[in-house]
Amino acid sequence: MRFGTLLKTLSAAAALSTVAAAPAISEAAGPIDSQTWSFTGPLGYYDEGQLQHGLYVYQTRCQACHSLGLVRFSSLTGLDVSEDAVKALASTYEIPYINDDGDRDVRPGVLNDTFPWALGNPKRAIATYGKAPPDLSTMARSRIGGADYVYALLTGYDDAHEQPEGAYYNKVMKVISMPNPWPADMSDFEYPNGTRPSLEQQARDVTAFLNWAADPYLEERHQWGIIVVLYMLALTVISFLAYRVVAAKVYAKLDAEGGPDPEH
Amino acid sequence: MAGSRSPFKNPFLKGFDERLPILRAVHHSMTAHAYPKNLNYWWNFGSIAGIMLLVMIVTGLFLAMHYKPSVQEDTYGINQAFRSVEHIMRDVKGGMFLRYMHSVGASFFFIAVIFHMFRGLYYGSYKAPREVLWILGCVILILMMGIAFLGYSLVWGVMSFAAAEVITQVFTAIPILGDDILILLRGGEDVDDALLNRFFALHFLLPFVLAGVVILHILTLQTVGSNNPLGIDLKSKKDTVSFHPYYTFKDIFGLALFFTIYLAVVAWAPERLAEAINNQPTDYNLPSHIVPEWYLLPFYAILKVFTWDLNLFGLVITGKQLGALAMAGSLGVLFMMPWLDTSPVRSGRFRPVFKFFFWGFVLCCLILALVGAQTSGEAFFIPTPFGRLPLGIDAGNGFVWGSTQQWGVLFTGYYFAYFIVILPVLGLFEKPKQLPASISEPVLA
Repeated sequence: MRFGTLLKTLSAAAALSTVAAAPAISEAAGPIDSQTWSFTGPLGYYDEGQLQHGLYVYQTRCQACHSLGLVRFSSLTGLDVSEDAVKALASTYEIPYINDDGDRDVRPGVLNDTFPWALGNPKRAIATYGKAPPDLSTMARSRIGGADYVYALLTGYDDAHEQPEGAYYNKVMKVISMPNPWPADMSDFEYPNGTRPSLEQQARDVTAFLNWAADPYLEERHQWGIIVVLYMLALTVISFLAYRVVAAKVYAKLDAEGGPDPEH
Repeated sequence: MAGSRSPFKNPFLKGFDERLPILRAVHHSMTAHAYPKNLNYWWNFGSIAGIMLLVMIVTGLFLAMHYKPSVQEDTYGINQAFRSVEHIMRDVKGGMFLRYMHSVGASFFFIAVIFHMFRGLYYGSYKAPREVLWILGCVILILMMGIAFLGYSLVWGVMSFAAAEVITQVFTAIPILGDDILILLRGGEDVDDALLNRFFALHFLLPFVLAGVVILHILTLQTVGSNNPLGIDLKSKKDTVSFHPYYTFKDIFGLALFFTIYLAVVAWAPERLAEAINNQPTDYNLPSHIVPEWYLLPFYAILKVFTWDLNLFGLVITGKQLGALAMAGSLGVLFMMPWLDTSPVRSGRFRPVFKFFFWGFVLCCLILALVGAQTSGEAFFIPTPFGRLPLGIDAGNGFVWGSTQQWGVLFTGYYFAYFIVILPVLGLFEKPKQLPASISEPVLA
């Protein structure tokens, strides 16, 4: 049984809700509402189906400008995707390299490659957009609020607001240089399985995916935590009892003959 | 120890010990040395801190096998140092646990040492004959702060760069030599590859220096003996106990409890104690709000609250110099503790007025930590689980009543007053409660 499945069972049984976000000293301008995620809480896990949808949203709406330079294609097997499917997906990407003639060229991606950057490099990104769109590998870990922040930002656009040239309005960052990723008409957008997600659903799925990208071993850590903390709790209880037993004997001996001579 | 006879009967142990008297030193400290029998749970943090140092050295060693101190950027704009840290987290087997045990471990090492030091402050563990013991402890604290800062820089994230930039900049406050010291620290004019490489070298070296000072700290402890909650000297065999088995078992229990909490944080909240923004590789721009890790916040607050220049009859001390002086002074004053506290009574338990000011000092450190974390010119607040408790209001016209900076000045004042006014004066006027005759006769007639 995969650990995720075990966690789902445990999580449902324990009916554990999310832990509230810490009262962080926020540097963000707008309010970040806390959301319910499958991966928060001590038994948090990733929903692979959601991550696959999130990957699809990333490919559709993010990767034209952003990269996942720390995420290897091979790690996508963690999304419950077969290795062959991952290989096929990797080969659809063009990876720049220097060929045997010494010329700049591109080759199809392989498992060991990381998600490439369509803009190529920071200089070209700055030349194109004036500011380099950040790599998203660690984005869900690098903002206060984590996934809640990413979701709030993605759903915070309001194109009705007046903004200076080249800037956009977002509830989280009042002036943001990242354009609204959502086209006005998404009525014919559908996931590979045929469902038609709302904007909020897409934002939720891609946020879960980005959280996975930033923290792919979260489930392992939670599993490790349960085992280690149960072990340590048992050790704590046993060592306390052992201490009490030893203490009783030591006190009896001290009453009879005392301890070492302090002048020693 | 030296000159004493080997306590062992086993011929191998005896023979070995007669040639290298290490075993008898251990035997001496474990069984023959007299410890007070009344040490409470606050005394557990010493051994916990020692074990945390070991955890940090061992996890750090394995991290160093995979870390690359290079600022070179790849085509993603991600520097090699940051990438190697992520490589440890993503590709190295068990790497995520090693990395989080190390980064969370730094916080828990500080937690142990902070409890250990406040225990010493409350029970007067710095007073004669334990002055050297206390001073070595202060050296350990300063080394730890330096090592933590160096290690934090190695990630080469947004806040790593800011920390390296701002903290090395502090040294330029030193007159005449400042600029040369800056270049020495940075390995050049800028915060760049040379700085990262020397920080890595120092971050690897200094923990072993720290371990050396810890050994001296323990040697001193063995010589002058442990203080105890009553703060009175050991009078007879009735007051004492050997370390083993009583304190070995008590320490194991304390360690188990402490590690349960530590490892739970590693598993479920490994980023909770850290600055989120440092999980992004630096682009060499300073973030709008620069904060150090939580354990440095009170000292950072003292550094940043001085925004005005001081004119001493023509000799101008800039705000930056005042801040640097105050921060150095806030650590330096700890070294003077044995002579600043004039009370002959060690334990705070018998000092009713001292108690009040001591807890005020604990509160002062907490407030200063919040000051360090918040923006100077804005209204100060206390974060609670139910939201912000405001302790200042914006009066308009750009003036704030109860700004972070004003609270910072107030409590920086208390911090120094505690050491250089309250403790010296209190010892002269306070009437302590009557001390028990000995540890074994704690009940007064």
